[in-house]
Amino acid sequence: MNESEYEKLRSLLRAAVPPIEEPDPRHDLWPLMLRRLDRRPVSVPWFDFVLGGSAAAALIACPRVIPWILLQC
Amino acid sequence: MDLLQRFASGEVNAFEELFRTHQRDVYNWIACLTRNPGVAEDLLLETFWRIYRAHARFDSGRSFGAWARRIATNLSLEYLRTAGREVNVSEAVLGAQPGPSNADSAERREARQAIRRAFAELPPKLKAVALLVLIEEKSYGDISSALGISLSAVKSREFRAVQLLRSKLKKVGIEP
Repeated sequence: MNESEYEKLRSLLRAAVPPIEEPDPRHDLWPLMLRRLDRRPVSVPWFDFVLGGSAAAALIACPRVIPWILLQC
Repeated sequence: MDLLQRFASGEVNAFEELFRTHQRDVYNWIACLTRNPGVAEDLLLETFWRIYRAHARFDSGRSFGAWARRIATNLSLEYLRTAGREVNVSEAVLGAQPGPSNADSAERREARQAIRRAFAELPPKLKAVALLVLIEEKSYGDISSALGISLSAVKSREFRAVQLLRSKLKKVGIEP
């Protein structure tokens, strides 16, 4: 394909699919972004799971401490 | 601490500053690829949401703009793939742009429609390069860094897109 054929194809293409006319957002998108940031789900850190699991395992291993713990409450 | 370091440490004010600085550029890039202002806004928000979530992994020595464009390009390609699977969505999106004149002959209108159809049928990766090079006249360097491929790969995709378009157009009687 030579240069002139390439240019012809390009102009045909640009006539059928014109370059975008609205290169900028229609309004400020920061408020929407902020709303999205505020909506983020609360994530539980992995060490909280480890701590909870360890406590449960300790209670299963030594059930006799349960009444003592309840007495402290 | 500079802006990028503050962003990397999770400061929302730094993120806002980066958002405001780069939103036009990223929006423009996405709009060039998707050709739909509503989709471009959604993908812009998704791009920056991903950027915010990944702040801790950001290397403040790198270019924020290039990183944002790369994420935006990946999301836009994903959109082009999905839109391509649905019936003629991308053709409809391409066709939603007004033509240069309303007084054109029916023959010209048909030719333009055939070209749009052929263009919409291109594989997403080729379509993205064709949109950016042939229609939006973006530089090879920008496209290469946004797609994460070499300059020669960009040129090769452009060549393949042009060849494919030519053969599709020949089939419908249009010889560029």
